[in-house]
Amino acid sequence: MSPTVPIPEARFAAPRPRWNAGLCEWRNAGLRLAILVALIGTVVPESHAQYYIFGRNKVQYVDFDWHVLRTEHFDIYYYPEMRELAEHGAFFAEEIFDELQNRFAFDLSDRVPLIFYATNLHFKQTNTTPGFIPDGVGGFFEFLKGRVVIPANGDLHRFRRVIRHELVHVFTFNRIVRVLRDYRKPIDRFVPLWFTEGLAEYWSGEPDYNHEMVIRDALYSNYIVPLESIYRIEGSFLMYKQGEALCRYISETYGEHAILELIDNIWIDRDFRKVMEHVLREDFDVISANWMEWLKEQYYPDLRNGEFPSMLSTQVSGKGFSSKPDVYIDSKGQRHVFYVGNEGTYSGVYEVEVDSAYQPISRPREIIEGERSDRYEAFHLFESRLSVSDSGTLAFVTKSGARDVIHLYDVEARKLITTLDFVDLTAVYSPAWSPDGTKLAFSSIDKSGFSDLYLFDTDQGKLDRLTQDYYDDRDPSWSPDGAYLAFSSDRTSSSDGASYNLFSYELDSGRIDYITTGERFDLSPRWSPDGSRLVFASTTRDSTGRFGPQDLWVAELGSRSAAPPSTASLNPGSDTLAFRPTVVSRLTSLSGGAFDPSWTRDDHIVFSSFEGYRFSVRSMGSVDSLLRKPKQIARIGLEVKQKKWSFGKLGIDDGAEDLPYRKRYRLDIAQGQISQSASVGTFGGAVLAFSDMLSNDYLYLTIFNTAESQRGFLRDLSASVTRVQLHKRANIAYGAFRFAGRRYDITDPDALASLPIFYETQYGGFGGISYPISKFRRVEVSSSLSWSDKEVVGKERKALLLSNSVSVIHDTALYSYNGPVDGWRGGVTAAYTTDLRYSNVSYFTTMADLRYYKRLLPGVTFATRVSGRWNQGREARLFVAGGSWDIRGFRLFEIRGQKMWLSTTELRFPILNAPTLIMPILAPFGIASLRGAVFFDAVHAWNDNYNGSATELREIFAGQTLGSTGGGLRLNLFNAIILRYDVGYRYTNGFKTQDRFFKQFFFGVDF
Amino acid sequence: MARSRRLITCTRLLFAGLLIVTVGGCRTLKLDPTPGMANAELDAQKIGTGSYSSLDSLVEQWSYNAEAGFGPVTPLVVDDYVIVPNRRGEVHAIDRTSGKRLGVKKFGDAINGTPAISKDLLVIPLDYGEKRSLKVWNLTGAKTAFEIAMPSVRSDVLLDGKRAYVVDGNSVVHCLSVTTGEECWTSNLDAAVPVFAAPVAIDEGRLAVVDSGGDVWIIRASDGRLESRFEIGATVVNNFAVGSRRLIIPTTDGRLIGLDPDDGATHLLFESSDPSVQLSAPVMNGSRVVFGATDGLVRCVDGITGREVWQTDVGAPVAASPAMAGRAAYVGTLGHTVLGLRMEDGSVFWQATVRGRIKSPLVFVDDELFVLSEPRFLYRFGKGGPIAQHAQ
Repeated sequence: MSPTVPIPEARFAAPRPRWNAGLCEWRNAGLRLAILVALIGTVVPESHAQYYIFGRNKVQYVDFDWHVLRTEHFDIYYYPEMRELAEHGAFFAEEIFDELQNRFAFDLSDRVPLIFYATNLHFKQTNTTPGFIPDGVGGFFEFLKGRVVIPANGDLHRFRRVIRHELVHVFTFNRIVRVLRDYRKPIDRFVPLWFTEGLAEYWSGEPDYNHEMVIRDALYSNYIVPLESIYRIEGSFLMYKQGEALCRYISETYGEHAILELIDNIWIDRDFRKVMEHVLREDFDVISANWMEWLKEQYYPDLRNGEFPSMLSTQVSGKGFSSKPDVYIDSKGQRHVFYVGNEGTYSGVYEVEVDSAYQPISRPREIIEGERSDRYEAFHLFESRLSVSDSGTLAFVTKSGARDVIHLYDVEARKLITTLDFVDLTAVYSPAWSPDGTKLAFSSIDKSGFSDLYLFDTDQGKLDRLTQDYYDDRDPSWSPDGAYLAFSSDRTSSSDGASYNLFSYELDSGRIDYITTGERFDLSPRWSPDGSRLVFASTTRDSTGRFGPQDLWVAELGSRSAAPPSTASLNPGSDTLAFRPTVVSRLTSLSGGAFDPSWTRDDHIVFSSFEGYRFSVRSMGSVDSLLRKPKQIARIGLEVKQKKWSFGKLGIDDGAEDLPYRKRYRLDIAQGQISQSASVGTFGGAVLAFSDMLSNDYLYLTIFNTAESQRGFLRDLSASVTRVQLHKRANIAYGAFRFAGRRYDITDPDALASLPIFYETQYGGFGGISYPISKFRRVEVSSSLSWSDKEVVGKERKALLLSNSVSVIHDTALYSYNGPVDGWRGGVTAAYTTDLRYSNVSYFTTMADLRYYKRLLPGVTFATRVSGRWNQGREARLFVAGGSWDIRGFRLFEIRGQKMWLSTTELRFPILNAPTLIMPILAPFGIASLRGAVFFDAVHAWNDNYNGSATELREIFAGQTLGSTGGGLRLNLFNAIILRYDVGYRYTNGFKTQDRFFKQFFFGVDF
Repeated sequence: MARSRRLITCTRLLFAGLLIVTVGGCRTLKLDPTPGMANAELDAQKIGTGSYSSLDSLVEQWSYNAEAGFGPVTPLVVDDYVIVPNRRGEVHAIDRTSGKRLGVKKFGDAINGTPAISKDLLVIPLDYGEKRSLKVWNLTGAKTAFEIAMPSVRSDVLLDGKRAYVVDGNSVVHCLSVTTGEECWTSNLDAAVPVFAAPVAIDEGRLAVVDSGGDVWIIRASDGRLESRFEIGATVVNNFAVGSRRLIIPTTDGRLIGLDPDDGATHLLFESSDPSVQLSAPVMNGSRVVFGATDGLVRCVDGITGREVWQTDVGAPVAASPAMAGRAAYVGTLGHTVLGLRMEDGSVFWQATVRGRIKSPLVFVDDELFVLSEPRFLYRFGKGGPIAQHAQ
């Protein structure tokens, strides 16, 4: 609504290597482990890391200046740029707290930490969870610290709903813990995920249109999962929606109190089915059957009028996931449909050629390979449309480093023209070309977390802000004459903004007008070629009060192209405005849903549809004839309230206290162990881990003792302290240690190959930095200084050891159930270790490891790995190989040498796929997948001068090329553990001797 | 040699037996008979009111660790004893003066309804896991008098003379003789939902039972015959009160309903503006009804007209039934506090903090206030200073 506001920092970037742009990122998903392992590797420099810790990086691009807003029940963590949003969040949290207190008849004993992020892109940088956060995650509750982490992402209604959802989790968790303690039961059970997530959805608000769409489609397409086997869809979007429907069914059938009774009776059995039977007083099978009947009674009557997208329209692309289509007709008249999608692996932009009836005449071709490079790091598959100009320039959005960027791609020349990177804009969605192909309109979220419309002039390189308020403005579309933008927004006065209507923005005046009104979700408008109509996706409530399918609708704007779209403006005036009604026609009555329609020049509508739990791109012809016989015609919006909706805020003026964030360590894990053995006596120790509320700072303490007598207690005491700091882009770790006692070390060149046990005392300090260049690459540098006193076979060796290393690691591999299936990863390391005082130790290390994965067919992957390792110098350590993870047929780490090369090649193929919707048979046994592999492994390890006795050389297989070939099975259980069984022949003596047939059983992921 | 080995074995067995007996002996429930117990007829409804007229501050005199949390049960106070069931299925007997444990016995997996005492017999309702969910324990003889097979019981036991009334998990009302264990009658309510609220004696001839679906069942006490059934259209999970020939029923949607058991006529005594508010079990003092709510307000209304006499914000949700004591009402909150309110205007005259949430009814007997709180403590508050604490 505000006039254009220039953004001075906006820059129009020429294409360049992304690493030059300084838009790099890092943090390994298993960061803490990686750092610890890497640094402990340097603590004991002689046993330098034998294996790379691969993995992508979770990069802390922004150094957030955290503050804490203390309200009555919450500590709200925020950064100053999003202060207004945090105050809204505080209001929402306190609002729902009272309601949940009533619903649960329960009070929380502790304050609840709420950590807010302005956008999803900031949220993805959080250290509160070590894993990567996909786009669809709206927030989470982490029970160890009892904290809730939520991004706002431009939509206040959604922000409010997610806060409610997560706080339901907080109350549920605390009440269950209380119940179990009341009954003096161990906290070894919890309600199933479908219940806890379903309840959180159910008590967050009314079912939204996504819920209705998924449940309806699941029933019509016959993939709804019965209660007794709902574990098959554990954690899926379908499970959330079925769980919500189940909680609603329980509430409506047995009373709302039955929900609390299920929680309160969790103590009676670990099997929730028995809890349900006890509380609901019916057999589990009866409950399941009745629920299914209840669902059918509600939804089957609608099937009479429903049309399946697959029967109504032509499929343009149906492989994998595909959505957000747009059409381009080239200079030769050939039609091309572009869309974002994936075929089971990486996401990208695809192109398919179609004929005049929009039947595909070519296979989909991936023109932008996403998720493998810093430039196209990730797509917003459900959020951001793409747009092709009349001149053939494709505009699409990817995440690239800290922010989203818009790429401009010449579809005729098949090359990237440029990448637009707006420094002040964090998230960018749905760019749309002006008719003359010089301007781009798009929606964006800045650091404050609010979503507004922007305009970028590609000729002048100038960015203008079109709206600036707390409404969620999205999916702009240009009128054919370039005078107006149509967009979807929750700025409507209908149902206090809990709806989305269509609006027009007059570019000359900045005036915003209603196009539609009412309790509807009108989304993704696109103009007809003549400018007299808008096609859009919309859903409204039906006679039962539920949201109906998301259908394709057309709004009549008048006969004149680009006429002002009806209506009364939103400028200040009276309370109620008269409003000339807009005539809207519903073109479809779908069983599933339609999204992102695009009106082509030749009377077709290309859109994405949801059917059979799948998104596909489809087309519909003869739009004019559909308009002559619409499913429904409505005149909407006779009048609108002038008053704008707004949400409350809770800030300092309302009694909240604002404080700077101070790190306070809290215990995360404490674990102790003591054991006794007849040969080595009693030994034991403990590990303690502490971190701050934002998990930016970790402190690890370990202490253990291997003394065999009281007198040796101090002599054999080992301890270490490590601090890991993650709040900046470069991750830093440092610490001090003392390790003393008898040690088993197969990499020590002085130790006996047959029994590599010796006594060593070592103490010192270490430090390391891990710097992410991007999500896919990082540099690790580490250094340690330690005193070592070693006794091996009667020989004593003292040394003041300095060890330095530097590594570069790259990882774009795509993982599936059992390991990588596509992409590549690799690492190189250079290190040097020396004895500063006696020169007893002095050697350098170089290592390289390259792993390449090629997906030949869906589920079939060719994988190969080559690795070279070289330790050279005095007391150079031994590298090790052997075992199921690299050289099969040999025992774990049976092959040793100061120099080594190895190569493994494998063909991986499916035997039984994941037992979800399609293959439920093995799911009760916890089998997530069963895969096979055929392999060929080879290795050669040697030492300087092939030193050592003949006996030892045989024992460690030094000086000869070895290998194996065979096949194996990989069984993934519960998605938690992978069992490996290999059989084959192993070879020695340069593959001249077929040593023996072997069978080998182990566990772990594929290399 | 063999004889010696046998002797050692026998000695060991004897020692083990003694150990078991010793330890087991510590976990039984045996009380000395007292004059009060000889005439005791005590259940949740017959306890909890007092006539204490002073509004002095109370002092925590002792607290007792009952080893597990409490359901919505009322402590039973008889002479020198306080008897408390917990959610681990145990009943603890505590010396009222010193707070010292006198005995404890586990009867089942959990107890969520208040037992009743008839002379020296303790009638114990058991929740889940037991086929015989009603046990009658002889407190002085330390032995089971008899057990009745029925599905688990979640509500309080009602005592009327020598008869006890219990509603089981299948919504069947049982009447049984406390002395013989014989069932006088059973009445199947045929309710689709369970009963959590305790049955109430309306007058000498009738009982009222309210199921969680809001159906009110009026039953003839003599033979269990169903006289009438009324619907109030709301969920009821807390106990209700009876006064002035009216049932005062709290609902989970923020309403307090007065119902005439003769004709089913209802009168709305209170309605919260927020339907998610849940009301505690009400207590009556004359025509006045006092109840708490999860919105943190304690209210006093006229039991006939519904006119609000006062309301007081106690700062945290109230789930437990208050206790009345002449000019005072005592309230426990989920915010770990117990408060004394003046009956005339609801103002707070005393407040104390306990170790956890209070979700069980408070009891005020002979100038002493008994409070059950999380995680597992029974408190005695009274006049005068604290009594030496006994570690349990």
